[in-house]
Amino acid sequence: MENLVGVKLAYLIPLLPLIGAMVAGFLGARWLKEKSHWPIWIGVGLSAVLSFVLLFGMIGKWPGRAVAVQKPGEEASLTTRVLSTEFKAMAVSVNWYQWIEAGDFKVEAGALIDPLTAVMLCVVCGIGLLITIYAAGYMKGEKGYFRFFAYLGLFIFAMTVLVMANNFVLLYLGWEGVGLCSYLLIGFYFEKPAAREAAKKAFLVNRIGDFGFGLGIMLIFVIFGTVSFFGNGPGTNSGVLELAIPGGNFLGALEPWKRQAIPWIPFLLMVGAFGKSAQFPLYVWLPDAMEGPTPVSALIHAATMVTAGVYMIVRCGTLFVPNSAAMFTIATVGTFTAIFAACIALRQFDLKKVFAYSTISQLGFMFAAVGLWSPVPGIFHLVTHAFFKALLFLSSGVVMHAMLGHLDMRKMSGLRKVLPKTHLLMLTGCLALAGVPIFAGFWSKDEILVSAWVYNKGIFLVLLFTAFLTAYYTFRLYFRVFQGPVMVPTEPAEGHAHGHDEEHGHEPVDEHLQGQAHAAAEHSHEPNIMIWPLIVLAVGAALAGFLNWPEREKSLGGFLGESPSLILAHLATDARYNAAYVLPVPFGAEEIHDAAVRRQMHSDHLKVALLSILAAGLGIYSAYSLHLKNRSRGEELVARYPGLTRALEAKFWVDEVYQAAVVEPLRGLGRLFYAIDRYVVDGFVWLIGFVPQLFGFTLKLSTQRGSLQGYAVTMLLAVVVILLVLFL
Amino acid sequence: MPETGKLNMDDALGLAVIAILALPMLGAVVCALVRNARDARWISLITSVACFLLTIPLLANFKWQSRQPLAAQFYSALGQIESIGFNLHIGVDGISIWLLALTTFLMPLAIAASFASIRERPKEYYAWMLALQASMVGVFLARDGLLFYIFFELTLVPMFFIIGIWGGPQRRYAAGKFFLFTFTGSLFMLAAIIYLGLKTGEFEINVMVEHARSSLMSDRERFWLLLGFLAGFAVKVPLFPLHTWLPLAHTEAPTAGSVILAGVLLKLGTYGILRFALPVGFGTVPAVVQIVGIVCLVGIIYGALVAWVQQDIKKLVAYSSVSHLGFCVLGLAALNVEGVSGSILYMINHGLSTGALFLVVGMIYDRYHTRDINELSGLARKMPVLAFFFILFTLSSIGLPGLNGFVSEFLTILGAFKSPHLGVGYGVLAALGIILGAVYMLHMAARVIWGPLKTPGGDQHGHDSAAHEADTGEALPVDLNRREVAILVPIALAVVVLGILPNLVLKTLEAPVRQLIIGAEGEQPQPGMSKPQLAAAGAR
Repeated sequence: MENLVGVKLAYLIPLLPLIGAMVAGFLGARWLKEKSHWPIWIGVGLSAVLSFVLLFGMIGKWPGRAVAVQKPGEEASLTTRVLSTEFKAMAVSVNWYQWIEAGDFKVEAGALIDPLTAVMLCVVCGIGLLITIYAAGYMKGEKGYFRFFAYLGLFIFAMTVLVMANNFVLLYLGWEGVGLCSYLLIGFYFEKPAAREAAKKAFLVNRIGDFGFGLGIMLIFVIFGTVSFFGNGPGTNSGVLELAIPGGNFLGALEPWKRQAIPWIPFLLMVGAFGKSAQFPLYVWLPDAMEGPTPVSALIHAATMVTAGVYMIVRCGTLFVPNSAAMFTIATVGTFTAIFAACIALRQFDLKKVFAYSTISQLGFMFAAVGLWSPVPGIFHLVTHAFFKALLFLSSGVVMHAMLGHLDMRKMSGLRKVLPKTHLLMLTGCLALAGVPIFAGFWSKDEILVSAWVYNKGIFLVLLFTAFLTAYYTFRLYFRVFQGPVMVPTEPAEGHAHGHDEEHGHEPVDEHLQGQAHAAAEHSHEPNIMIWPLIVLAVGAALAGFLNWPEREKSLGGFLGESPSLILAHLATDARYNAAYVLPVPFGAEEIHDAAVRRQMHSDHLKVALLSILAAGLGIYSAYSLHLKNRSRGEELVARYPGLTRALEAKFWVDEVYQAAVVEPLRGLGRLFYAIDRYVVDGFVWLIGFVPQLFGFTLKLSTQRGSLQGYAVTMLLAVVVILLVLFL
Repeated sequence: MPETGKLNMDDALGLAVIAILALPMLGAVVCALVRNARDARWISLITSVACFLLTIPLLANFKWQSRQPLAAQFYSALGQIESIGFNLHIGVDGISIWLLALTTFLMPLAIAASFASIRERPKEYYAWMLALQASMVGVFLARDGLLFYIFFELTLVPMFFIIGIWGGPQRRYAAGKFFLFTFTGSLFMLAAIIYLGLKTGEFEINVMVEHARSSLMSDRERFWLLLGFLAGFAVKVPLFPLHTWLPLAHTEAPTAGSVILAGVLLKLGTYGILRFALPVGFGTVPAVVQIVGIVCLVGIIYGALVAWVQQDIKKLVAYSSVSHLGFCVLGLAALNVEGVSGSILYMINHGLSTGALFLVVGMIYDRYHTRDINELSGLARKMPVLAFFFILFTLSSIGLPGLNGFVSEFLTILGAFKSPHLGVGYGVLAALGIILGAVYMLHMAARVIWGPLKTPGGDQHGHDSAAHEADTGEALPVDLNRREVAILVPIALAVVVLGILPNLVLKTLEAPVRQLIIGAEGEQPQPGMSKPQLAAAGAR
């Protein structure tokens, strides 16, 4: 696999966007100006091409295609495969240079390239490219156009480093790097105090997560003596993820305290994942992050960065899987976040806010999946979600553009006539999110539900109910905004200053547009540069579900199953995760020779699929009856439960609790310390310093000069005295 | 120089070291004597640039692979007083060369940053600046304990005048406090040096240290020596609760004074701990090390929380130094290669990023004559170039991976984490400091750089340049001018390069640090070793 073109050129994947970002950032303000998107288009575009070259190159070498059906006795054959050349063929560790070296602590800058990385790279660079194209239309005429694209390039750089890193510290670099770009991009409209505060909040909440993550890395180093995932490569038994497999020689030889400390590692790493992927209780930054420009919400806060936590847990499976408490925590937190965020989304009116809470909720699904050690459903949902959520965000960007900056669904209605293309695109996204069959979201959500059904019925019920809520809030939005009588806002929203409005000189959408689609306005509302990328995403949102075709040599799961992370984690699993048909396909699927198990599998899949279709249908029907058929009924329902409505609208007062319980006490402590600093500490030290001061004072008097000179004389005298004492 | 006429490289480099020490002294005298201010400016700038240029061949020709990593290279014996064992010996080793480079790197930038803001008695000012440089360089070059002490104290005099004459409204009080605090502290250190020197029979630092480590000294003696050294250096660093002189000195000092104070002068304290306290007593008196560790932790959290509530951005950065230096000393207390190497790298990184932050704050002050966080807002709209540098150095200061601060911060915490003396608890508490570090720095960035534009001395959007013109005699452009950009660019480059290639420094530190620690950890020379043997082992 080392000979693949994609592997040889892998270093270019992060490098090109970085160069693009530097060109755009340093030359943009003065020279490139409104052409500043070109360096990013070229950089990210080439990275996307390289990512796909890498992916297809690896698929070409995929042993799953060559090797016929595996014999029964799967466990044994797996163990041998771990050490066989065939296994190594699907992962290669490349070292670029020695980054940090101090004592035993050695960190290389290098890449681990395996199926998981390749899939993530394609998602990041592919969707990244579509969004940068879209952004050129969306951001046209904005102040700081070049800055926006420089940040985007920097983001793609950091995100690709994150998914390519071959050790924890480099992963941490990407991890914090994407956090920085998120900070800069949320605060892109930095003159808006809300954007400024949201940016700061995002960075700080992420820092709390990174605190845990950083400590986790340190603990890993102290215990394992390395921070590399696979050391010299999978199969050499030199990296953390291999040493951590229970029952290995390494763990047996550890000092007792280290062995006892191992269970802490997943909990510490988990804190980082909760921060980055906006899980309860660290989710609070993501809704506020919608202050950033819409392409940013789509790219960073829906499709890529927020999924880093899921990626990290899957990558480090061997550290998590043996620890049932940690796995249970992840699954529970994910499930709770899913339903919690979905509830808040029910009563949001801002399009982007609905999708933000929906993203948190969907990330909860992914966490539930990895918490039940179903990495393939988790990553599969990550991929499909990237498509349809990016589509939904970008479509709401088009709506926002056309509606003069408004995103409040109470101010608009019946847009299917005003924005026909966007309507279709948005509908595709909504169908995918709601989990309607054929569309991508259905398949991946279904797989998560099957895992939950098999391993934990409680989680299954909660997730199923969440699926119902998801369908409801998605179609509440759809029916209110795109169906029904036409209504569009006439006044521009506060702070809405898209330069293109002035350039094109088109009139604000006013009365004459109402009730009928306006051909000319339609054209300028849905510029091609913004629509084309959406069409690609819509195709993905509709069809990405077929990526995981239930045949080993065609499926995403089969491909991902060749990742050393997944194989080793599978070795680390015990009887808790033994349902053959939920495991990555190469370990399951056609290896099921027992007819009874196969029957069980089919019946489970069928039951879950039916229940999930039922939930989606019910959700859509409720949304239809409350928000299209009879809109007043929805309000009546709301009026009947004022307490619940208030709790939902206040988002359960979580922000207020944080402010009162964490921020204010700490600031108070700061003030108290400062007072202590000025009065107590200083006073005490001055007492000690009193005698020398007197000395200086008398000297000052005797020499009849200013105090400055007095001190100087004191000093010189002192030096002279000391020297005399020394030399005599 | 040999008579063959061929330039011997080592001799030439030895001369370069002498020149680095002597040039600024000479320059100081010339600056004080020249007729006009313009000449003084340029003489001081050229002198300091020359010193920096002389440092480059030192770095290039240093023998990093030397068998005796703590031995001085480019060594010159300028004289001695045999009766008391005082040696006027200078040279650099693998640790001090980096701090020397930091000093000569920051000095020209600090001098260039003074061009616009120093209007009063400029000749004296530049003379004092060069005198300051000479004394700081002297500390890092000194191979003799007494010479070290003399230079250590000499740094006080120029800084005292720089704060006292060119400082803010409370300058005299601040200068006095600065002087008395550090001077009092260093008397304890002097006592320790003298005691150790008399016991050893000479004052050559490495020999003294070897002697202190050997069985010729009792643990009790080592304990008291350690206390003496710590008392002196803790004030200089400054460690909590001896830090109160620092915020005041920083707020009152002129920009360049703050830059050098934060960038180099504080490092004299940590360098002193590294040179004396660490090898002498850290390994043998673990209780004291733990107390130092706790003091560092308190400083990290206390400094960060106090920084968060500051109104004056310079004071905020000053308190951030209290917090950061806590990390730095914590790394030394960890007493392992990760911690100590990280700590030395931290000294360099803190010098760069905090020095740079003071420069940027000074540039804001030059324009708006305020540093009040409530009066400044949204400067990014008006001054994008300044905003870029401000954010870059902020990120460096909060330890963003990829920039310089991260590596050293991570290593010091990691060092504490795995150290048998300190342990996991210390690492966890120190890591809290990285959250708080982001809290106060981003709080400042949010208030000053982001947000709606508000500039003092004008209306909501206008910049009242005419008033400043009358005030400073020089019309400052709205954004940074070329001189200011030229000052910040070298630091920005260093910040990025050290973030991507920290191994440039770390790798060279490995051997000397290992030797320092191995000694400290108690692998003492054989009992009964004679003094000459000790001297040989000690490697000058």
